[in-house]
Amino acid sequence: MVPSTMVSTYETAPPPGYQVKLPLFEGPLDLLLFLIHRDQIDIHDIPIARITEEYLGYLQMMRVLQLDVAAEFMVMAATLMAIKSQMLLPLPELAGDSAEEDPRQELVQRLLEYRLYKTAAQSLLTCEQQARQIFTRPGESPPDEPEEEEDLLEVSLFELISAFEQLMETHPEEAVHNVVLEEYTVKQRCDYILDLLQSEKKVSFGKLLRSDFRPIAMVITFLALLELMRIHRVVVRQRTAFGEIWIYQRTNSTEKNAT
Amino acid sequence: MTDRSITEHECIIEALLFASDHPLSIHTLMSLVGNIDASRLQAVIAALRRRYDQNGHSFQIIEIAGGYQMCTRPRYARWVKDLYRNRTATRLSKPSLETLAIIAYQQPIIRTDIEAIRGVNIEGVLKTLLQRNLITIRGRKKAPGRPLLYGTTDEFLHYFGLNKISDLPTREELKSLIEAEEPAEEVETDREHPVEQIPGPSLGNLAPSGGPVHPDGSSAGERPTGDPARAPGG
Repeated sequence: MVPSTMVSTYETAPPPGYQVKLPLFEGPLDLLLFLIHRDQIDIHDIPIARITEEYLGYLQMMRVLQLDVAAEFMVMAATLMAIKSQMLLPLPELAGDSAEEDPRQELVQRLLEYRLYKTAAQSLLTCEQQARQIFTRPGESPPDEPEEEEDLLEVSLFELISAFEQLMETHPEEAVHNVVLEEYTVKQRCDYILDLLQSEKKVSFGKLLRSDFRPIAMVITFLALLELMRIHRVVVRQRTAFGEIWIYQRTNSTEKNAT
Repeated sequence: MTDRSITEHECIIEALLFASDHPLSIHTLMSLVGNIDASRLQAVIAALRRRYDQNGHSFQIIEIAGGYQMCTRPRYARWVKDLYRNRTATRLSKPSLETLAIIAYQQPIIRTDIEAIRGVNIEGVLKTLLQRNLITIRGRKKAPGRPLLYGTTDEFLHYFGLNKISDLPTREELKSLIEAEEPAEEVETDREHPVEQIPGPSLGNLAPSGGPVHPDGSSAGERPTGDPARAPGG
């Protein structure tokens, strides 16, 4: 399976004309392996000058076709040219130990390593194909709403209002004098709540209203919450009767109500 | 053999495997059945498998993700596939498979090491694999920056139909595979046995698989290459 698919995709050289079909490479190493395979080059003895030329030619072609040439491809181009120039340099005589390193060695190691995992990936693909032929009993229905594990109770409007009353009563009566400017609108507070839910996932009722203790702010925030409930943008839940009330975003119906 | 009476144990284990939506390990089965030892349990499962084989049942018991699970036979995939049309997960992309392969053989491994092997950035791929629960974070490496270490999950085994990670072909096997396809005239031979080229897991294998073979290549060449049980269904 492996080699045949590889051959079939790889051997389709880009045909001339407007309908260009370039094999897609996963990265520079993939491209190099392709060139090596195509030209039947011995991976342990790569003609660096030739392969560099072909590699750059390919990059050029990708650019002409206005394909995004990822930075990694450029890094490899630089590496190839560095190796090429290194091989052109005469060997330093004082090299002492005869263990003169082939400048290609590191690249060859990387290619061999990568090729190994490419083959491993092909074997995984085979596993995948086989595993998809068998079916087991389906598990519990997929959790389409990953709401908290605990059982949440529906909060009635009356409970919400009494919670609101409670807060209004208990909030510390500050000696506020001239509050005139009407800086809050229901619309604004709706956006504020939705913003909070974007980052927090759930917000407690008390905390929300306590964000601004001025009665007008509390009332408008409360109205905004009711509005959001009405248009199904949020849901309110509580864990126990008379417990803390939590506000959640309703993700599923978000689009539906966005008119 | 068909008239051999079916034991109570067979019925109990069959019921458990039938009802379960996930693989049941030997230990789970032992504690559920009670009063049975591991070897007896394995014998019972072998008996069940024989029965399903001989009577031509459309389902089988496989060893997967460290346990036993009942599943349909590949021959009936065509039909069951339609039943589960919207349940089947999308197939993995090539970058995902390559990344998974590296993680599977090198785990636990940090991101930059995977990137060094693949030669490309894999941030997005890792995210997808984490979301699909095929890999998990195994902790942090004791190195500058304390980078995250990644490893495969049970879901990985399940997805690829493997019983354990060492069911993957060893490095040595992979190398010999590469060498086998090295000559130019590989095309002809490949067409004949497309799937057998790659040592896969023994899916639908009716006998317990051979001894553990480690992907690090410590014991190479133990996998029977002509294993008939591995032959694909179609």
